[in-house]
Amino acid sequence: MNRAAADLGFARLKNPFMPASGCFGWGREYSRLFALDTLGAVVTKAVTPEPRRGNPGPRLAETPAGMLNAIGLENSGLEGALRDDLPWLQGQGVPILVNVAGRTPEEYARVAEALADQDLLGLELNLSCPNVREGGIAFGVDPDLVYALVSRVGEVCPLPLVVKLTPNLADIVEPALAAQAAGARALTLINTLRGLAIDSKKRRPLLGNISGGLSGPAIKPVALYQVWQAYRAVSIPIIGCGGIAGVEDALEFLLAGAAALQVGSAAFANPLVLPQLVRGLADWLVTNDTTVSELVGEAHRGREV
Amino acid sequence: MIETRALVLDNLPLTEDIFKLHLLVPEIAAGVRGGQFVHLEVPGFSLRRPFTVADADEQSITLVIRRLGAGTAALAGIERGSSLAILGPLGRGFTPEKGRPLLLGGGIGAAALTLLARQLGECTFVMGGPNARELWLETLALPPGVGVGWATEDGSRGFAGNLVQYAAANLVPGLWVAACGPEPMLSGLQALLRERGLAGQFALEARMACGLGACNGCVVPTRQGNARVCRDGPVFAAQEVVFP
Ligand SMILES: Cc1cc2nc3c(=O)[nH]c(=O)nc-3n(C[C@H](O)[C@H](O)[C@H](O)COP(=O)(O)OP(=O)(O)OC[C@H]3O[C@@H](n4cnc5c(N)ncnc54)[C@H](O)[C@@H]3O)c2cc1C
Ligand SMILES: Cc1cc2nc3c(=O)[nH]c(=O)nc-3n(C[C@H](O)[C@H](O)[C@H](O)COP(=O)(O)O)c2cc1C
Ligand code: FES
Repeated sequence: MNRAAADLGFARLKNPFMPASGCFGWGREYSRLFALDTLGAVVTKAVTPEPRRGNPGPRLAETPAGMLNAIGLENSGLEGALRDDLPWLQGQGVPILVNVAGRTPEEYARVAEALADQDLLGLELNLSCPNVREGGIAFGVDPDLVYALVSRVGEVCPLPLVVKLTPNLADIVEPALAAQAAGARALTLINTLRGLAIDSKKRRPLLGNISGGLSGPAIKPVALYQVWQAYRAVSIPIIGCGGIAGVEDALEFLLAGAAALQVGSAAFANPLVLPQLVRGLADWLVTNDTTVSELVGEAHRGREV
Repeated sequence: MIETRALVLDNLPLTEDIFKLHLLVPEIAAGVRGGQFVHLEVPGFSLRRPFTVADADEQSITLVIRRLGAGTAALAGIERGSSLAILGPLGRGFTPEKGRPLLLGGGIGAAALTLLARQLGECTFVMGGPNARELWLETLALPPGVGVGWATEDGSRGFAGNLVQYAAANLVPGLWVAACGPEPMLSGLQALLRERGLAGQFALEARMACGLGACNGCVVPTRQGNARVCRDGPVFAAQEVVFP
């Protein structure tokens, strides 16, 4: 029995762990340290229709228990992804979620349509990037836009759609329900929280983009709460993300209702964190004689959902 | 390239704010090239810190570190016998070209050139700094073929002036230049090299997260577009770099 198997409804993964988009590139660099097929899945860097240069530097700032980034979705575009990156990753024997971004719903649809007949686990629609002026977060905060965008992509692409939402709003439930109603098969919660760093020596904002997205242990309680809230509202599976660095964090997310887990910034402190989590959780499940499926949402039991 | 743990063999102050970490880490020491770096854990901090490998033998590496902020201050206090997670060797080092090598290291930038000097065996290595007290290069045992020179802004040792002024007075045909230092120094050198038709390579710095080339956090503009300092660099052809 594989105790660690994670059930996404539209697919079963051998374990719940995947890298968070943008923290892992297309996996090439990390594949020099461990075999990617140890992971449940790989989530790619965002793909936009055209190549993007991203934001001016500096793009990174360390914060207490976390970091800010303002990469700005730099990527080599749909053509680059299809030519150089996707074929390589498809040879690694690991299910793939391609993270998709755009300035307009049409741009998302363009990328999705071009990927429609690829061998993929699905697409992760990034409706939550805080570091670009157009698109990204602007879609994720408006339930009507979420519905329109996800429906539009669904028309041109039969692949399972996972919608990645932003925590930069008052209530996650409305956009989560909108995504589900539009046909999303799962949600990823959460993307980064908008933040700022000031360079007191230069007396100016530190990041080239002024604001950045906060990630790491600092955002874990926010992410857990949003997973908890969404779990009570939607029936599609949730992929939890935000500050996961150890087995204990992973358990907390599963118990709050996440069916699978993404790990981003923790890989910067420890590039082997993902394979270590895979092993660590497997051991924990044996020691405690339980399974991932039994844990998912367990913290809600005894409460009315 | 490997992720492993390094044992701190020694931690020695070189100047008021510069110290030398001697680390036992054979997997990285074997085969590191001048200009390559490691990504070093600082206990208690979310991100690692990149440092050039300043020296190496078969078993161990030496880092020369300037105390800048909280992370390097914590490293300055790290005790012999501690163990730190370390990833490396990373990035592309220097690839010496035709010509007599002239190494120009501004302040802590000299640490990016010391292993290159050892691997070249024969070269001229000029270290620049504000005054004689800030010059630490002699504390590393460089091969006898390395001719060490100095440039100090207050004239307390060697050439009186900064390294760009030194270069203006000393860049002659037949030289190949390797340099690392603050941005104004490198952009001044870039102009001089272009003027005099000399080739050179610069080691750059940028804030890093992954250190591997996966996150695009460390990009700098080059004439070919954005380049990742950690993977496409940290060493770049002098005329490729675009300074703001
Ligand atoms: C390839 C490379 C090689 C380097 N080699 C050396 C070396 O041999 N000796 C040495 O003393 N220093 C070197 N540096 C610079 C060194 O990494 C920084 O001084 C150090 O990270 C500062 O950390 P801090 O916590 O003290 O400073 P803080 O300012 O508190 O750091 C905050 C954040 O910014 C980053 N940061 C701040 N300044 C720099 C900088 N100049 N470069 C990169 N990241 C920075 C830190 O890593 C950290 O993530 C190198 C940098 C790079 C990119
Ligand atoms: C450097 C960096 C780049 C990121 N790029 C993307 C991206 O391209 N698309 C996306 O949906 N999220 C991106 N994110 C957000 C992460 O996928 C993740 O949602 C967030 O970092 C929270 O997880 P963590 O705390 O485990 O890092 C990025 C995060 C970081 C730190
Ligand atoms: S630090 Fe991640 S790409 Fe260079």
